[in-house]
Amino acid sequence: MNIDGTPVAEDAGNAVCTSGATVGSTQSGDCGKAPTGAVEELAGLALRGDNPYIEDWKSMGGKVIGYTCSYMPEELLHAQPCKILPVRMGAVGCSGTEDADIYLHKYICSFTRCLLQLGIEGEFEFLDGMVITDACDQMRRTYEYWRDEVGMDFLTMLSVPHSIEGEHRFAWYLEEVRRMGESIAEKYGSYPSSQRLRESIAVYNRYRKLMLELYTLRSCAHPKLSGSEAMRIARAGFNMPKELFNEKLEQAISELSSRPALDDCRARIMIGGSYLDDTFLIDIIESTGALVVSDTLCSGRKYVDSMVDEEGDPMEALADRYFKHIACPRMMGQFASRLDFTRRIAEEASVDGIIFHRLPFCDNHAVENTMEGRELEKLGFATLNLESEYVATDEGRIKTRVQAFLEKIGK
Amino acid sequence: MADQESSMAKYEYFRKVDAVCDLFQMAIATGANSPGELDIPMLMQVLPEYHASLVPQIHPEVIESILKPKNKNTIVAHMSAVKRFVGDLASRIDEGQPVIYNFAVTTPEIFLGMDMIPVCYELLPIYIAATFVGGVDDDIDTTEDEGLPGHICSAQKAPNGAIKSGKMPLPDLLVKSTVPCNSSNMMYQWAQQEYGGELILLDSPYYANRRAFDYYLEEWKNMVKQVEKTTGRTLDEGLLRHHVELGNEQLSYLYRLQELRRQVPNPDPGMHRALDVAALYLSGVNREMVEYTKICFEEAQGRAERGESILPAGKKEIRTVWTWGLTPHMIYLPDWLEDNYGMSFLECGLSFLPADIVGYVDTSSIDSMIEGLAWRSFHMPMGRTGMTHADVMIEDFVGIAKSYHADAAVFSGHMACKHSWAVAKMLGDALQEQAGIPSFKWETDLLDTRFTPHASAKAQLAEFFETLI
Repeated sequence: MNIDGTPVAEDAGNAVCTSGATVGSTQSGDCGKAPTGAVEELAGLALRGDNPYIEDWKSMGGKVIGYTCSYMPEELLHAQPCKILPVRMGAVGCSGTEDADIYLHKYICSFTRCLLQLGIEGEFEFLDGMVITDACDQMRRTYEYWRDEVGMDFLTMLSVPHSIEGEHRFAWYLEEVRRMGESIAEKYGSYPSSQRLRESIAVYNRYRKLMLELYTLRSCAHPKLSGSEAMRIARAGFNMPKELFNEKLEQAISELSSRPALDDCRARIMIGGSYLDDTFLIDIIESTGALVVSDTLCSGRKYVDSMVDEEGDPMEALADRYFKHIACPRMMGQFASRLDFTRRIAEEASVDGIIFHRLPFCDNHAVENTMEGRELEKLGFATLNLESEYVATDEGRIKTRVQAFLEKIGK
Repeated sequence: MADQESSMAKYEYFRKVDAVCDLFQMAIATGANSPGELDIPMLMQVLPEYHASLVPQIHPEVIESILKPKNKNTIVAHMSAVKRFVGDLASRIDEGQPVIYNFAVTTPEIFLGMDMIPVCYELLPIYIAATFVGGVDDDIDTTEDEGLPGHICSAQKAPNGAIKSGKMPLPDLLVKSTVPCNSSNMMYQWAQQEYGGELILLDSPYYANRRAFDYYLEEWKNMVKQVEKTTGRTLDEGLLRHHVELGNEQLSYLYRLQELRRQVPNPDPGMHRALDVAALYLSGVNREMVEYTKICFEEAQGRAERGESILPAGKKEIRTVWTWGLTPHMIYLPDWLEDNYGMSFLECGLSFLPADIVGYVDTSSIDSMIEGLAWRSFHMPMGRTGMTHADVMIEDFVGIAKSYHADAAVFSGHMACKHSWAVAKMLGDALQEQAGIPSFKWETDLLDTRFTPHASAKAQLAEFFETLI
């Protein structure tokens, strides 16, 4: 079968790993038919205001709060008695940044500009509020534009220390998390009990464990799904109530487990980098016959890799996990652990090569990807450092580079 | 050390900056007021061979600017201070002192109080870029050869390349405040990975309030402990007080200069702002740097008392706030704009310290000095405006524009400075709406001379100032 789960065409020849996905923007499955299973439903879930789960949530009086960074502890929002759905904001489907470019110079990364563009266009009207962190220079500086130009009703900043070493740094982060909770309480008049927070932590730990199971289905010797499918499923997880997503994901894992394996791929590839929720790059890689079997993306494996301790004080446990989860490159003094993480995931997935992706003008990943690539090459891994805009462009250039990389590694 | 090459001879950046100090002082000592009055062949005969080899590489416009009577005395004073600093630094390294690189917002006094001379990682490349055609482009290329892209800040790419090429010493210690940007933070991580040494952080939260300062002060205290532990040195109260007092005295003149620049006409030449940036990075290093700021003040005060302008006779003054800062590899630019368009350079984002907020460091105890230095660091250029909401930077510059009676603003945006580029639109709008002045934005690079070539930069700025005349 093809890596998108469709049967292999008789004339497919050796290209058994070729994705059926169309290279380009991937808002939804858009097949026009009702999904036949959980995999199809999750992989084709509409985004933002068109998302039926968000529509249902809003129609039942729930609030939706968007965020952009993996240092934002979702459980604290999820546990609110006033019913808050946390949504990790993406900008898939953004086709241009004409309006955002009035405010943000071209030196600001295109993901940041795309988000603001959609904000200006009203695509995030379904959001009741937004949490921004100072993790990245570009995103932190859009705070004022979300406040003044988009007019976000509730907007708060979460300031994250640049190192996990030192008790007072953790204490600062914990206090920031508490303050964020207090600002929500002030806005919506609700604050979660410890018991509610524990329940939310359990829901999110379940989510992370299921996502890791999904990773196992990709990274095992006989992968059951493509990288493109996996990214679409993960993206659904950013945009659904986690309880419902967990149910669907369990079904999806069951469906995927009974599928034939994608055994004949040209090469097993891992991708690394920052936030990526558009399958554009993966579609290109997989269109060459390679299979993306794992990742170390900020929005991927790093996002789900560690659990919140379900014992002890839930707020402290929550802060501990989010502060100390496998680090973003902006966390200084943690390069060795990041490198070790990448190496470990690459070894677990038995990859033939690692493709690092970065957005133009992303300082964190421009340096990190180069550093990790150099060290991994010394350890015997083949790496490719790619740069592309968030909006799907440059398909030919990227495909040529991917093909050249595969040839270089003898695949 | 007799059988070893001295650091001054070994490290090209030390030797080059030291030679620049000599060359500028010698040129000014001839009494010439313009390059045409210099007897170059005679000078080349008396110069040491190394110094003579550098002369053809110096920007002619820089020579033209430093020889002007309004700039001469301050240049001599500044270069005396820098020569003393580089000489002392090289000697200390020869004596076995650890090589300590600090980031700009952490001024040197705290290390001087441990009887060690640090050097701002970005400082020596700035002097070289300011002086020579093509400045530090080769060292930037050396770093980019490793695969790093053009949008990473050249202020770190240049020293990184210089270390790789053996032009600067390997670090024993890198002390980095996490302000103002991801780019610099990543490049310090790169330097540690590449060259070793210990990386000590001064983390700054994203707020400008008391809670954030308390956290930052804790960071300072921890940094002192870590430096003491790593180097085996201890903070000496008397030594620290000596250097802090020098820094305070230096600031007293800088604050008074700020007041003088509010006057019409502005009595303070624009070229000094770049020197002020360097003086801040060398705060408290020696008596000579205090003398530099004192001479700047006394000369400006004299002009103010006489009602003299720094502009050529008959030029109408266009009072200008440089909201991002300046372009070090075009250090002569303010002087060129003064002469050609009547631009006067009031304040810039890389040298402005709000006197009423920062004040002076209380020298009554070690604790008060650490707190005072942390407070100043919290408000240093790039720190104050870089690591908090954009509103602080906007309020600062709208306030400056109003109180200095500015006519215009220029945003010389360093291409690597993403967080500033994200503010540029808001800042320009606020200056127009609240202070009634237009802003001109142009793209430059701090140290890479190729990004916007000088001729292009001049043409763009000329076009803007011509519209204001």
